[in-house]
Amino acid sequence: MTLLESGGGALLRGTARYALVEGARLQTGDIIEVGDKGVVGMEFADGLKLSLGPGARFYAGALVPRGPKGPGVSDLYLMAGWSKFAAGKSSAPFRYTTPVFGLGTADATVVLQVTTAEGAMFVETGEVRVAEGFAKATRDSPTRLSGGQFYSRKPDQRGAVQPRPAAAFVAAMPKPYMDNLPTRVARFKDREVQPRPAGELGYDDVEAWLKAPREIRRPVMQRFIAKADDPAFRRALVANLRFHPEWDPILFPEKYEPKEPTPPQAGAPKPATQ
Amino acid sequence: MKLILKFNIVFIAIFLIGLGAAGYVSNELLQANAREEILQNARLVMETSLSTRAYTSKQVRPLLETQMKYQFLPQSVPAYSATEVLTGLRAKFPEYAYKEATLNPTNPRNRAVEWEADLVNQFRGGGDRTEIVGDRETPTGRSLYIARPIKIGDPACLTCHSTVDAAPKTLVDRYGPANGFGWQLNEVVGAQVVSVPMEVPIQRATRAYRTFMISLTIVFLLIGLALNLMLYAMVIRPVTKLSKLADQVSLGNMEVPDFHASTRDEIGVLADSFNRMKKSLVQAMKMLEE
Repeated sequence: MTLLESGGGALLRGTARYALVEGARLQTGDIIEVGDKGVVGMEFADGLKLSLGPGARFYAGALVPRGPKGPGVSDLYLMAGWSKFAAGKSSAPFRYTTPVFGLGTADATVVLQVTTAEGAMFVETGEVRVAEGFAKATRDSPTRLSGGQFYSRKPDQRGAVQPRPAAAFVAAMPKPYMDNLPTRVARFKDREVQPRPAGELGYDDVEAWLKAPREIRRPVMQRFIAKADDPAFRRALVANLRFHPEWDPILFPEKYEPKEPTPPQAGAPKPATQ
Repeated sequence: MKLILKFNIVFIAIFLIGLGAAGYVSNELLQANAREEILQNARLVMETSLSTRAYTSKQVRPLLETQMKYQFLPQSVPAYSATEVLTGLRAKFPEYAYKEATLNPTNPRNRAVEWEADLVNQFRGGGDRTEIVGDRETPTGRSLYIARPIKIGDPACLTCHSTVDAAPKTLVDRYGPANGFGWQLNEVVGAQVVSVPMEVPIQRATRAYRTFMISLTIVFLLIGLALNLMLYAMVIRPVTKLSKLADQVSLGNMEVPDFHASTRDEIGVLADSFNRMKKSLVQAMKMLEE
């Protein structure tokens, strides 16, 4: 899976930040944050093309390629911003989950947008299954969208399906998304480019991810456990503990150590024996 | 009647007949050439429109397929492209016109007006007419038109023109549900009409004709003048002089000088014959007197 950067993106891998470089490879657990004017493209070996638009915050939950046991199902997450993907017949099925809805597909072209107020998507071609809320779509998900249909949902409301995209959605959509996603992976087929390190991450850099839904923040937490020893990082963790209570055992392990039984005091009656 | 008058009468008669015939033939030829030139111009415009349509259909439309899912782009429609390209032409050549005149168009600007509707109905009336050529008066002068039928031969056309439900939603959003639907396969729905001005080529032909006729007349007149001068110098004047000498001899004046002709043509031969005859006459008179 090759990253193709077009400007304005950062890669968060491990506990460090990296500048995106065209030709770098995507790994499970990678977080990509795109600036207000940036566009980041990805092309997968099975033909899936995925683009992250302005303001996108993306997490590669699990990259499961096709294998001898059958097509794997990758889990990708879009927590904010714009994205477009084009999955063809050769692409492995995958799930793309957002805070407002989750979709699952194997052969579709979709444009989606996530904001704090609403999530929306337009299916250009193909078919997707939709689950409401921060949930993975499955074959049993009741909502099915086909080419030409538009879906939108506000948090805590039922989603709505319309026969054409909303005018506001089209007006706000990045203009390149009105065309087919380009393909450039052939240029990097035989070479791998390493992203450029750009410093360690502080709490502020990953706060949103540490406060994300449990499904995301748990694996992210695993990466930053060592950072609990950093005084500044620790202070921030403690201050925001209510948003990520799973840090409590790490920050205060003593609270979770098994208590030793207390020895009996002198003159106290012996417990009855049988 | 004097010889030169007879000659000029015949010459003028031949001149007038010749001028008339040449004028008629040249006028017909020039007018036919002008009309052919106009027709060629019209065909050039028509072929330009067909090329534009094909380019749009084969190269432009496929590139816009994805964008069309979000907004209808008339630039992807071959008819729109052809009309726009030739509308651009009209900025510099306003007498030229192109229209895809349709009885039931999606875009109202293509609706056929009365005379265009007549053309469409002629195509729809049956037969395999592939072209109608005619001319008509317009505010900018006389105009020649070529019309070719717009026949729905490709089922893909019906994607946008069969029913409202089958048409792309973005198309219906732009043009509404009332126009441009209900077309059938193999139906003639309109006509491509190219109009080109006739005035300039006709004026050019008329100018050429006038120049030709004036030139021909001048040439004829110069020839006539030259022939008159030659006739007078080479025939009439020597014959008149010979005639006067013959008169003198007939009145008995044998002392008249011989007639000298500087040429060895028929006048020269006549002069020699006259001189011999005068000598013979003088000798005969002398023999009679003896």
